[in-house]
Parts: sequence; structure tokens; C-alpha cells
Amino acid sequence: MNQKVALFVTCLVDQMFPEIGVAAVKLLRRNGFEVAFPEQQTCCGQPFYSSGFLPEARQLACQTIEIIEDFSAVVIPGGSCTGMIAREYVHLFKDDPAWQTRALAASRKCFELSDFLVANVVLRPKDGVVLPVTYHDSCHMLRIMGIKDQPRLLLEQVGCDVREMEESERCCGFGGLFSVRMRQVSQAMTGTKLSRAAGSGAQVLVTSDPGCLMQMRANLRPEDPLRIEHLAVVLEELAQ
Amino acid sequence: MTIRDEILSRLRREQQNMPVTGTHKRSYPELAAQFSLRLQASAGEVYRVSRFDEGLEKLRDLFGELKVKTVASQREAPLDRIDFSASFPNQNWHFAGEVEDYRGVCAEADAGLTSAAVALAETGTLVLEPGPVQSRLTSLLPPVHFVLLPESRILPSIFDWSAQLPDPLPSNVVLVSGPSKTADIEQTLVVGVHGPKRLIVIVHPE
Amino acid sequence: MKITTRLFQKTAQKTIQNNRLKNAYQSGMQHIIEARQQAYALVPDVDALREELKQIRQATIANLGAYLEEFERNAQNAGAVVHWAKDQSDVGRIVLEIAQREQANLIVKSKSMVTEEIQLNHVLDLEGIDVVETDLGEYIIQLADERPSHIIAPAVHKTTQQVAELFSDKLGQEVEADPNALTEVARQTLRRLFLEAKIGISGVNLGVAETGSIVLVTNEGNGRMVTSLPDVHIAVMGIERLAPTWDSAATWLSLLARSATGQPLSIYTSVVTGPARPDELDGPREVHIILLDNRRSSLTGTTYQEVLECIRCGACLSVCPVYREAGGHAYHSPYSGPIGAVISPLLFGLENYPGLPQASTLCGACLDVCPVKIDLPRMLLALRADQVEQGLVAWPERRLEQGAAKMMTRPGRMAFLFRMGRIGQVVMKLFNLKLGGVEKIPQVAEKSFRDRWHELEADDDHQG
Repeated sequence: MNQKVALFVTCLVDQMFPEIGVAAVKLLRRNGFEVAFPEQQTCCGQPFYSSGFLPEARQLACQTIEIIEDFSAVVIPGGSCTGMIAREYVHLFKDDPAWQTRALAASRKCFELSDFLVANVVLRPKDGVVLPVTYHDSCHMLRIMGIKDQPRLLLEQVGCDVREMEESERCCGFGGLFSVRMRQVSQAMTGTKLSRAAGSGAQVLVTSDPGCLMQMRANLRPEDPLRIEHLAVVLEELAQ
Repeated sequence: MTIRDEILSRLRREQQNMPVTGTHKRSYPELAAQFSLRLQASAGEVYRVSRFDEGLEKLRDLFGELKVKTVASQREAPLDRIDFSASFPNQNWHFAGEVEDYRGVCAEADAGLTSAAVALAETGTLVLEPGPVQSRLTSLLPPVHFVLLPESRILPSIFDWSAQLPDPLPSNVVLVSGPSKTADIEQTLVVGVHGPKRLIVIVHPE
Repeated sequence: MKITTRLFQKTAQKTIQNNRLKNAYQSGMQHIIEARQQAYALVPDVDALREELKQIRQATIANLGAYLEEFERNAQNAGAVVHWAKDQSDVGRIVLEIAQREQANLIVKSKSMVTEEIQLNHVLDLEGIDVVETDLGEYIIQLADERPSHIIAPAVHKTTQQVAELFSDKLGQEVEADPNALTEVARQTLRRLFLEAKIGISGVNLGVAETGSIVLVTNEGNGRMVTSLPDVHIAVMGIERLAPTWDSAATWLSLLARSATGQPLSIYTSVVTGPARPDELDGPREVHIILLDNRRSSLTGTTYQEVLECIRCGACLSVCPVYREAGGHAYHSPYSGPIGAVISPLLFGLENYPGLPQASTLCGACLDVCPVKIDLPRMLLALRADQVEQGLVAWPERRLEQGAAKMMTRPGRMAFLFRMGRIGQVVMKLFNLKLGGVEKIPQVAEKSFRDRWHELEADDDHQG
């Protein structure tokens, strides 16, 4: 029997980049998973948590935990949101033991998409096309979740030529509301990131985080020889 | 309540006793080789000789090469074995504790010559201590600092030094790991800011 | 002056818009990062060392009162005079008393962040005392009347050309734009002052409780000059800069220079234990140690206690992507970068520095690199929560955030919020165009994922 997984798409994917969610569903189904989409889901609460609005963040966290509790595994196509749910919720509820226990249990069921795929399947390339790509490590996925090799491994599995850019671990400048509050600094940071990515000689800049994706796409100049895509979309396109 | 008591009482609110542990043992098969490697990496110059006399010859050559006329020095071991007028007839020597204005001497001298209490292999470091015949200034004011270092004084690392400090500590102990330098202007390395521009160490057997 | 996000950005623009300055930061920081990586690679047990230093710093801060008393006792036994100071005015008073007694109107000073923190030079200047900074970088910015832009590279924002113009202008002699020539001029100018000054002031990298010693590291040798030539040496020390034992001090020193400049040890590590002894040939007649609190003790027992573990190596600045774009001056504090964004509000008041907790994407590079593993991102989060709790967030933003959070609890309202946000963005964009905004506005999707989910489900039913 197929394993059933729930998809927590994140608010950005739901509203801004639905194609990422669609790609994730197709990838998972093609690899033998039954996918559920709990429709009450909204936002993990991170924007409010990062802004210091803790009661508001807790309300969204409680709601998210309740959704997760109905499933044995939840897959998330976003590194930062995974970090929020799987690592930060326990801090958010440090003064509330009952919810902290539930947060801890929920955290164990959450998997970032590439991490989940590497642990469960091996992807195969569709045809002989070799696509030169470069991978941007999104900060929370890398440093909070410790996921670095998995996306690269999957890209190689589907026939990509992964070309490391200089400082792939350097922040793209998004930082949630930082990109609004410190817009000019944020844009300067994105400019540096994009020039590093272009320097790799890749055609596609791949990231696993919808936040980074939004930030980098918004600052990409028409003359930049790069396309920016989410990992799920690239994998779905190139995998059998 | 004094300022002292005020600060201490605030700190004592949360006082908690936790153990402080640990030292790191280092070992190097060849202490003098490691010492030379590290000191040279930070622009120090090292010569290894097989006899003390050979060290003096080297020193004589270097004095000639650098046109050193006036030397500030101190009568500490092993420098106290040297017959200065016989070995270095071309230099004027002034010794710490033996001249009225030793500060003035050091400020004008072409070079300073000292030994070192100990040296540390891991970091290429000399440990200098002031004392009854040792001045802080011999190694500080002249533009070139020469050191005669008995090989036996080289310890593996700072952890070996910290484990056997002199008791009581002299008022000023200096760990020297190269000639004076800076990178404050556009990260460009420049040697010789306030201290010596050259640090030349001659490592000799006992 | 309030250091808001707006002011931060305004100052940051000077770096962002200036290619030369931008390059100075990018290449300067890259240089420091690589040096540190190479130095760490040479230490076989560097992670164990970091772990140990963390534990040492934790244990010391947890029992700081007792260690300070031990330090004081041993420093006094060695003949040093120990003073306690709450703030700038206490330190100013103590130094002035000494200066008046010594009839000194010239003081040579070695680089010290803690005296920058209390603007000691300014206090002494008002009393007619000439304080000369002797670290080359600090000397440059003192001549230029600027503030340090990096904890360990205070003049990183200056070019050789600018320094040459500055020296030619202020020192009355033409100097060529060559770092060697400039350094030589500084050497000669400052050498005269070292020999002349009756008082030397230094900071303290760390004190060691078991012997009452203070440790001072420099590369240039000015630390040695200041602690050896003048009759009186005054050291100003933050109360948290203490190692209980020499073994722990050795661990600390093993990581300090490696983390800061990538050197195994700095060129000169001076260990000062009281004034010159009767049987020693030279050295100061008096050593004064001023233990400065400046709000540090009030951080113990709070969420922010961990920040007292900092050893001021500056590694977090060099890796911070915000610092590297914005530059050090944007922080308007002697402490910039991630550590500055945390301690400036804590030492100088959150109400005065509302912008600094926001000057981070919480990317975590600072935590990765910190030799003491201080969780700066978590403290930035805590400061932001304090801002909300203490009512320091302006009401429109507060209402907006709270309203948005409420809407985000329901899928339908969330969709509505995104669409409203899109309209808001268009309005903002029209406004920003005049300010030269370059970014494209992210588009809200025509069809959300949840709409497409139903199609996908139908698909799946077909296949199944």
C-alpha cells in the first residue's frame, strides 16, 4: 500500500507559486506516495515570530500543529517553514509545556521535500539533456535544518550539471519582512547573490525556498542570463 | 552602597558554580622545526645552527649585512657566555641595568639582542620576561630584534606554558610571534609599525 | 538620535551606492574570512577547543561575581589599583583624577572597544587632555574624526589614497599613497609621543582571576608601548572579560586571534601583572584597572546573559551579509555587525536603537562562525519580541501585523490578504519608482494552489 503523506505547501506557494505545490504533488505521486492536502492550512506563523509578535505566531503555530497531528508524515516544499515548524515551535512554546510537547511531536513528522525524497526514493532522468544549474542554499534550511547535500544529489539524479557558485551559503537578502523594512540593504544583498549565481555559468538558479525564490526573481534584471526555479519544479520537469 | 558592591550584588543574584576544565596537549615530533615554520609564516626569520659558536658567527654576519653598529642587550643566559668585545669587535654594546639612560639607548640602537624564557612551537612564539637584567625595551624599541634561543626552551604550545608559569609572574610577560605588523590600510600587510621591523631568531643547541 | 531602520538604511546607502566602499568591504571581509578558515584548518581539535571555550565562558559568566572578587584580590596583591565604574562618568572621573595628579595633558592609548563604548576620548578632550590613539587604524579614524567601522579593522572603509590625503593634511608633510610609507610616518610620529606621554590607556582583552593579570593583544606593538613606556598605565576592562585560570586563558587565546585575523596568536600578547617590581629595570610605576559595568551586570539572569560570553573577535561581522553590504557605520555604534545589533540596544537602550534588531535576515551565519557559539539570531528575535512587548513598535505596524495574523488563520481570508497586499504593493511601487526601486513586484497567482488541488485530485482519481 502506498504511504500517505500530507503536503503543507506554505502560504507563499499557495498564493504566489502554486506550480511548486503542483510539482511536489506530481513528484510524490509518481514515486508512489498518496498525497493529502489538509485544506485548513494557512501559514506556519514565521513572519510574526520573526517580527516579535509571539502571541500571533503561537496562534498560527497551534493551528498548524493540529493539522500535522492527523498525519504520520508531512512534506514541506520550503526550507524556512520546515525550520520554523520542526525547530522553532519548541522555542515558541517554551513557557507552555503542554503545547511544547505537542510541538515536539509534530516537529518529528515534518520533512523538507528534498530531505524526504532523498530518504525515500531515487530519481531517474527523463532524457539525455544535461542542464547546467547552480544551487542557492537557503539559510534556514541549511543552518537550522542542516540540509545541504540532498537538493544537490537530487539535481544530479535527474541529470543536472551542478555548478557551485561562490558563497552559495550567503543569504539572498530576503529575511521575510527584512526585505520590506530594510528594502535597500535587502536589494543590495540580492544583487550580490545574483552576480555570484551568474558567475557560476549555470542557466538555472535553483533554490528550495519560496521566500528566496520570490526575492531573487523580483530582483533579477532582464539582461541576467539566468532563470530562477524552485527545486520541485526542476525535478518534476526532468525526472522520469 | 559603593559602586563595587552594587555591581557585585547584581551579579550574585544569579550566581551558579560550574566547573572550568580542560587543557589541550599538543605534540610535535620536531619542536624546533614547527617553531621555525610558524614563526617564518608570520614574517619572522629563523636560523638553526648546530653549535652556539656557529650562532655567534651567524649573528656577526647578520650584523655586517644589516650594518648594525650599536646593540642594546642584556646579560641573561645564554648571552652571559659571550665575550662581546672579542666576538663582536665592530659593534658598540650597551647592557640593560648597566647604563643610565637605557631607554635612550634602545631608542637609538640599530638592534636589540635578547634570549627568551621559553618558546612555543605550535604558534612560533617567544616568551619574554622582564627581570633584574632584562628590560622590556630591548626587544621593543630597536628596529631589529635578534634572539639567541636555546633549542631546549621550546615547548609544544601555549598550554604547556600556561601550566608552568613562573610564580610570582613578572609584571610584564610578552608573547612575541613575529615582527610588528598591521593590515589596517586596505588589508595590505605592512611589517614594522611600532615594534621591531625584523625579528631574527637563531636557534642553537645547549 | 534614534537609530531607526530608516537611519540605518540612509547610512548604508553611502556604502551601497559607492563602488569603492562596497569593494573595500567585500574584499576586506573575504580576506578575513579566508584567513580564519585557513587558521582553523591548522588546528586538529578546533571544534573541541570551541566547545571548551563556550563552556569556560558560560561557567565564568554564571559565577562572575566570585571570579571578579578573586581577580581584584590578586591584582591588588600584585600592586595594581582596582577601580569599579558604573558608566562613562565614573571612568571619566577616575582617569581625570589620575591625570591631574600626574599633571599629564598627553595620553597615549592602545585600541580599546570599551573606551569607544563610553566615548572616553571625548570626555577627556573636554577637560583639555590630548588623547592619541596609537593603533594605526584607530589613529587614522581619529585624525579623520570618524568612528570605527569594524571591531578589528576600524579603518576598513578607508583607501590608501584617502589615508595619504588625511596624513598630508593633518601631519603637515606630503606622504605618498603607499601603505608602507604611511605606516612609517605613523611610526615616527607616534614613537615621539610614546616616549613623551606620562600616561598610557589600554583596553583589556581578558583578565585572569587566578593571578590578577590583564592580557592585551596587538599586532603593531602599541599595546606593549602603552604598558611599558609611560609612568602610569590605566586599563579599562568590561567586567565580563575574565578567565578564571591560566588554562582557560590559554584556550581563549588559542581561539581569539585565529577567529579575528586568522593568526595562531597575535604578534604581541602582553600579560600585565601589576606595576614594575622593585627588581625589574623598567615599566610603569602605577597600574590602574578600571572594571566597567555599563549595564553588563543587569544582563545576567536574562535571555541576554549569553551575549556576555563574547570575546570580541569580530568574526560575526566579517561573515554577516547585512554588514557586508551596509558597512559598519550604518549601525551608529562602536559595535557593528550582528554582535553590535544585539549589544548596542542592550548597552545603550532598546528605545535608542530600534533599527538594529531589524538589521538582520536571521540567516545564522554569525552563529556558525562564533568561536563561543553565541546564538545571536535567537537574541535578535528576543529583542524584536521585547520591542513589541514594550510598545516600541509604531501602532500602524503593530495593527497591521496583528490584523494580518488574524486573517492568516483562515484560508479564505489569507487569500484576500494576499490580493490586498498585491494592490498595496502596486501603490507602493508607484511611489517607489521615484526613488529608483529596481525590483519587479512578485505576482499573486491567478489560481492559488488550493484551487489547483481540486483539479489535481480529479486527475488522481482518473489515474486511480
